[in-house]
Amino acid sequence: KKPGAASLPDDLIAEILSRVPYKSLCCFKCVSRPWLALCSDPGVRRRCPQTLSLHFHQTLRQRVGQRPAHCRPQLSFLPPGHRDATIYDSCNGLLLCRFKDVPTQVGSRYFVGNPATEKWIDLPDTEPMKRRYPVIRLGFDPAVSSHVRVFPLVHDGDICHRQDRVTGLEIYSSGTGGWTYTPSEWGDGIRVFGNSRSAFFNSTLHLTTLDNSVIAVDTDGKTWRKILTPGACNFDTIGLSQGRLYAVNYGEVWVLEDYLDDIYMAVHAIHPEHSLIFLTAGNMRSLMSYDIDTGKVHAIHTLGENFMHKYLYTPCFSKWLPEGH
Amino acid sequence: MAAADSCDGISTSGGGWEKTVTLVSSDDARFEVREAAASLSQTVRRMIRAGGDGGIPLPKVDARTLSTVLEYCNKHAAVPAPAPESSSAEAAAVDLEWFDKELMHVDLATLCSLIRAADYLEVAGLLDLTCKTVADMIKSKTAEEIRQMFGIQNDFTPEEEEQLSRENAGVFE
Repeated sequence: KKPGAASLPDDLIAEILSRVPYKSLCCFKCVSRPWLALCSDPGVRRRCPQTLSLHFHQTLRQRVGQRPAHCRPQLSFLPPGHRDATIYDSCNGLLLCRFKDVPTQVGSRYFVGNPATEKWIDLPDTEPMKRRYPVIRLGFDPAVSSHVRVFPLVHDGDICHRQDRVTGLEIYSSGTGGWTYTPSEWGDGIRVFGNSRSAFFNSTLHLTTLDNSVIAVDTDGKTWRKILTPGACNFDTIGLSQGRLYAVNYGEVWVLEDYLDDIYMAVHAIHPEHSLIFLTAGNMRSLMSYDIDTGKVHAIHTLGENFMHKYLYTPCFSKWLPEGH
Repeated sequence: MAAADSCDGISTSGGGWEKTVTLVSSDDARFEVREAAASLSQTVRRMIRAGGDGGIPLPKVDARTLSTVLEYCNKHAAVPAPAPESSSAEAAAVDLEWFDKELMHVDLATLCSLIRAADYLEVAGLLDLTCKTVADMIKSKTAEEIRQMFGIQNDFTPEEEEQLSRENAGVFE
């Protein structure tokens, strides 16, 4: 070792490394063999702070991951045989994807995966997921449970059109590996379609509707809520930041102040850790961030006119699959 | 910080009587500290309980490092616990944050000595503070810069290095 240089025993280096972002851990693997071992240590990786790392988006003409040169062209972390897929939802480090072509040997249309740990499970098929435009969402919170939930809504129509009404909900739990159907308790005539925005927190899935409300259901399908929106508007998007639910309607930002009462106070996506909102503007969909605290707007990049959906992604290293998978 | 010659004793400070203990660094400097402050170190707390005279020997910590550790302990132990959400509680928290920030204005070698000391003395708050400081310092560095900072030899073969950087050019680039 060079004289005068700072040095620490491995256990204390591990203390430091468990406080750097995952991106830095990846980079530090190249330092030396001992650092490679430390950076690969599951204990260190689990503890290291996770921040928003990726912004997945898909475009009209191309499938998932096909994008301009400054972006990563493919989702290479997807396992072989799973790469030609469309992302349907992203929740606390897990992705819900649909195969472009259903592989006959697998027999399932969807899979849930964790890009950070490269672990995947194929979901058993159920009737609403066989539809062309299903409304299907993911629920996962490693702080509460290592089990993942998948929620496909059941509609009265065949292809989940905008005018189709929600009649019920199937819930998949990786704990049981099976589906349970519960009829809707949100009342009649609720319309939710594929582009409805959703947020999962408090072990509850929240979805925007076309009927001036946000609907919510817990992971057991026992507690159903319908929260009316202020001024009878339809929210463009909802999202979670620092433990609060935010909603956006025509550029107005609302926050669900008192969760058990209603939405009270006063765009694109919401940053999970900072007071940041992502906005898109113009024909070329310039992606910008807006700082709620300072009011500063910062341009990120241009998504292009083919931009369709976005999913934010924060890596997760907690155990999420049931034992035996 | 003044090295005091007295053994465990009673002294006046801040207008009241407070119990003090004497800590002895590896280079034989003696520090008289309030027991409440010294007890932020779980190691010292156990030694106080075990008893003994002539001061508590801390053979793994030198005087310079120990004085910084004690500066931290004195400040953090001095914080009263006023009613939460009061303006004075907020001011105290801001003051403490400012103090911590100032204390961390040192070079990497000093930080590493502090981390070793905080680990040995089991001062959890200081260990977290110092590790976070170093983590912030290194998080944007390249592998080569890390080697320089910590005096680490690159023990990979060129092929291995190539392989690793290829793997890591993955998702998070």
